[in-house]
Amino acid sequence: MTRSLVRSAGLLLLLGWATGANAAIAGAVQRQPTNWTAILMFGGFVAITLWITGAAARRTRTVSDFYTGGGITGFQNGLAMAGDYCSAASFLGITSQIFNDGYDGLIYAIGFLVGWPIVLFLVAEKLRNLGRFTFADVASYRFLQGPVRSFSAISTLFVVSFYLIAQMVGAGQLIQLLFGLPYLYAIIAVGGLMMVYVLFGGMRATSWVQIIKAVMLLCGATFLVVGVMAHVGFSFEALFAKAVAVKTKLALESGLSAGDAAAKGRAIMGPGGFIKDPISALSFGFALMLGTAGLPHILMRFFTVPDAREARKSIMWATVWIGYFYALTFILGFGAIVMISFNPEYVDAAGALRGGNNMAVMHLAHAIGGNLFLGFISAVAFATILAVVAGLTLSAASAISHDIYASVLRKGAADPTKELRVSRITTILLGISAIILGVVFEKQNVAFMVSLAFALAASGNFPVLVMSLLWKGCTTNGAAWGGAIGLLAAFGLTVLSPVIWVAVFGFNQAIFPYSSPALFSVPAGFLAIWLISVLDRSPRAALDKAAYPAQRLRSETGIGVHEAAAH
Amino acid sequence: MSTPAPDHSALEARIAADPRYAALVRDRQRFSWLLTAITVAVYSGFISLIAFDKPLMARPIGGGTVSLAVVLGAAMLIGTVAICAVYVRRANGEYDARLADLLTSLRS
Repeated sequence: MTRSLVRSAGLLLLLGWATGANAAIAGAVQRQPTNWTAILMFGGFVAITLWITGAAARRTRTVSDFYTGGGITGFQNGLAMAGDYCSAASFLGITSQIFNDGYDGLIYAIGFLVGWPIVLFLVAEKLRNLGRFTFADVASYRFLQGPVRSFSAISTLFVVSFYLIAQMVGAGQLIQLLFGLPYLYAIIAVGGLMMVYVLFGGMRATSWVQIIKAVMLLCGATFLVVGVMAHVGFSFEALFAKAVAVKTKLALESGLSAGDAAAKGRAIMGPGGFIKDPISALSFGFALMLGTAGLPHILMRFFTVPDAREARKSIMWATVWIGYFYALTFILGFGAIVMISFNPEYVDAAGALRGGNNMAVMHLAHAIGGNLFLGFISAVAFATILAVVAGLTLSAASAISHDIYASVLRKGAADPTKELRVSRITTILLGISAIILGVVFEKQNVAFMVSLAFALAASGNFPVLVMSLLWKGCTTNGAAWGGAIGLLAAFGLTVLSPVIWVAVFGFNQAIFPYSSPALFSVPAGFLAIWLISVLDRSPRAALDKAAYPAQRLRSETGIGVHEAAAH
Repeated sequence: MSTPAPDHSALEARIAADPRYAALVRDRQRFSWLLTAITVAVYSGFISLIAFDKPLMARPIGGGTVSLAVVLGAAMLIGTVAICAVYVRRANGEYDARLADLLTSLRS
């Protein structure tokens, strides 16, 4: 113990991180020793992506370059979407959830995946045909720009903030474990690198960071799965049987009777405590399913391809890679149960994962491939966080510069140079906010924060998009205020629900008893948009309705579409 | 930015008046709503099974350890990819071809 302490202290000194690192060393007893393989591999990733960013920066001159990156193919965009969507929160969070509770993690994963067909069937092609840079282009297409864009921008900032918090917290935990760095330094490193990508490389750099990361993540996870399956003789039956045996043994050791322990072991094969009541279950499922179709950083990616045809292909590939990825995480979670549960190097006496409760897959990587592979997977996970936060930051920055500054404040007549400058200043401010938020929310469970972002997107953005695209009668007031009501309903009900009212504020009983608001807040959003639009007798409402046929025609045919490619 | 370019307006008027356009939009819309309904129904069914009958989901299949929940979960992952493939195949094939025919005939 002492020797490893001295060694990590020596390494930290060597790296020139000695100043202020004393506190970290004191807390570093449980951490892995500093892993040079990981640092080198991650350094390699950073070097490649910074080189791409440099190349991208030279070609990022116009706002269109910045927001769309000059155009990529559907296949590339599908990979980038997978890179954007398969966050570190799901890679670390879902595998750890399966490690702890078994099957339940798959319920999360399926909910995340099943949103993609909804995006494809209802919004993708129309979104591509109508929009240019942000989903607000589409939501506000035939409406008065000010109110609808303001709603979209505020909603984007809400959704992105919660998603970002989850990513930053995951980043801090990961680097703490890997590098033995203090949490704060880890967060600053992630925030800083992300700012560099987005500031200089815009969407072009962000896309390529996401594509490279997706390939690394899929290859790394595939390799790990092969390792797991080799361990159990390439038999799923053996994998699950061994996992049940491990959980049974753990239960016996905790003092349960043989019968109870066997039941507890078998429990990992079926749904467990994650879903308590039917209402919460459906509500949570709808948040994940419909939320995907309202995530601003995902919707923004449709504007990087030239037309609706490539937009559809993007989703096809994104769904293939994301579905494959979640199948891998399921196997990895069970593999972790089998391979690391009894190893004191990975699990402490109380059965908790060392290094934080999201680290199952990292320990599994070490168990399968030693330090070398832990290094690779750590670098992949870190790259994952960077790719996701870069996409989030870009979408939040474009909401402020394109929707608020250029479209609302400058009424669509902003000087492009100034718009570009505003988006870059916003990127810096967002990077700093992300660092602060990451520090403030250090102790939260990251997977839960993501589901909150999904509930907000499902209740605010999704109804506004669907109603403005598919319902002639939707008006400016209906979209702006109805969307705001949906968003507020989701936010308010979440605050009143057990996850915040009881767990954060410490009250005994939650006012809203279900774990997710979507089953109520999504219909509330739709109903509010419908009701306000129907009651809207303003002159503007007549204009909004009259503009529908032209919007519909363009959304169906793509005539007049804004091209992503820079000419 | 949200007004269409003026040189498109004559073409747009012709498209809007063409019965083939109305038929295309109707067919594509109907197909996408049908697939949406299937997705929502299957997924709701899956979640409801979990919510209402956990013992059934936990039941092993064929005497082994693999449970119904695992099999259905895998089917959900594969089915989701498959339903996307069904839509993209038809939209990028049949519907895009009909749209292209329509535009060619109206532009000439």
